[in-house]
Amino acid sequence: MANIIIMAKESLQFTDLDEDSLVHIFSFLNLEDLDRLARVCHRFYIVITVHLYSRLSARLLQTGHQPKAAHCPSRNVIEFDFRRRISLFENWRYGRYAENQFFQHRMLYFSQIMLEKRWLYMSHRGQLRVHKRTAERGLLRVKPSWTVGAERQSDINWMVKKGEVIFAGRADGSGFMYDCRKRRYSKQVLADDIVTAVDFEGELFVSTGKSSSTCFWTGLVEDGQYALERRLEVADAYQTIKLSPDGGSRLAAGKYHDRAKSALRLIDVERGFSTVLNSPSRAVYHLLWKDSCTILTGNFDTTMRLVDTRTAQDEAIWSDPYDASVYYPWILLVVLNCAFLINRHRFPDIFQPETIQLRNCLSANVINPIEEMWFKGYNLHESPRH
Amino acid sequence: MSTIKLETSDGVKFTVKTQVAKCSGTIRTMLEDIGINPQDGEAIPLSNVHSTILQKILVWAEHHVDDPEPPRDDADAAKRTDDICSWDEDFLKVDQRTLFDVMLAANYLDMKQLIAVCCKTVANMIKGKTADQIRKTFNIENDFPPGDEDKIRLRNQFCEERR
Repeated sequence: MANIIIMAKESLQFTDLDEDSLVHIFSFLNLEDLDRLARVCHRFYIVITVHLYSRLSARLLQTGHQPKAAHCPSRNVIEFDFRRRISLFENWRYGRYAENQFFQHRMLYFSQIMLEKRWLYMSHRGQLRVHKRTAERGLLRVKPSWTVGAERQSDINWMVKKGEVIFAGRADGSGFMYDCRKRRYSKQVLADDIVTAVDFEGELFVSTGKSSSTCFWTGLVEDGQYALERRLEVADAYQTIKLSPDGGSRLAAGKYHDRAKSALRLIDVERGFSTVLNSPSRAVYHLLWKDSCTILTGNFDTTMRLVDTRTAQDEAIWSDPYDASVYYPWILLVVLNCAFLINRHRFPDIFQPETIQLRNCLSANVINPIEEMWFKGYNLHESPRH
Repeated sequence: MSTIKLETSDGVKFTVKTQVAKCSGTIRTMLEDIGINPQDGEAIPLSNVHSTILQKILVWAEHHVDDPEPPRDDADAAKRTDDICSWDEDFLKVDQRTLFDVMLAANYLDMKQLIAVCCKTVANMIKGKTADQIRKTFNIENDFPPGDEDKIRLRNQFCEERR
């Protein structure tokens, strides 16, 4: 009897294997299997978390990798464990969230989104889709009411709508104006480069490329067709541009990368010279004017900044509690039941308490409700100016 | 054809073709780098390997002696477990204890191909099973404090939804 017990003890078991062997075996398993295996016993759980989840999540474009940011040491970042980072990434990448019915495709492409009281404008690859919202609760109809262009055309990188006119730039250097009332499409050649951003105000049109230059155009309408005439060319290329709301006398522009941390510039439209604003950021992904003196920027360093053009410096800095670079300061995702999923809030189960009712914000005909919400400071940990 | 002698932990001596023995990275290093001279008739001691296991491993090495060098392990390459050749599959139709013993010995002898095949075999035993089934299959005790397993399940639940 004693012999048998000793035998049983000496017999080698799965759990007796060393860590390297376990990791080697587990590396052949997919996520679902790993999830189940992690529940088998404590040792497996540790091995899987430390060696497999972490390795998998390290490869992803992800959030939560810098719990303490240099610009704000007191910041309280929500820390995701490795497993959650993987799922957040996958949800985002493969459109696994309740809203995915609006994106009729497998993977989520960065989309430009504009919301009006009755309509939602959304770009998907080369196509602009316009979804009608219901009168009662502002819900979205899944099927687009009308579309411009086709998916297979070159990607729409940026679009702006003012009044009934939409101006958009594509990845192949072309752009288009679309008159929503007359349903008229006029194609333009903007650059021999990828168009990253466009904007317009009255007759003034601006486009900027990925690596070449920023062009100012005068747009003239003839027989309902737009013709662009080049007015001015500035050598710098920007990631994002926006004309000031006072009729477009100045252009706020953000660089995709600036080593000297002066990515944010202000360009005088008449004369074409640019001023650097003291907002020490390496990359500005998106910006908008709050009023004719203040600019809101979304930055690579996970902050959103409020910059005053009179003092030419930061007035306030918010950092993203999920430690994600702010690609789209107004919104990333879509509207459902009047609630917005802001920026990283792509997973309702996790972020339910933080989704925000839109209804109260929708008073004017055309507004940007996210901007409103921003200033209410939802979800943002304000940090002192540095 | 030159041969060398190997001595296992339980004192059994094996006479093996040098080429076959060189499937083991450990033995190859001993012969080529450290310069142990097999002509002396002295046996190389393998103190971590039991004779029954070595016998099995030698059968495997004999069969795979002419295999080409494996391609370099690419960390990003998709990990497949369905590419075990049928001979290996039959070879590893053994009880778990032997399987893990072979794996450990292969580790000690530095036989990468054999380790990979063993790992794939174990991985295949895990695939598609629930936590309970895995415990039953490998006779593993659930050592989570009561409630903890549910916590992990809940925490990972959102991963399983909305596929």
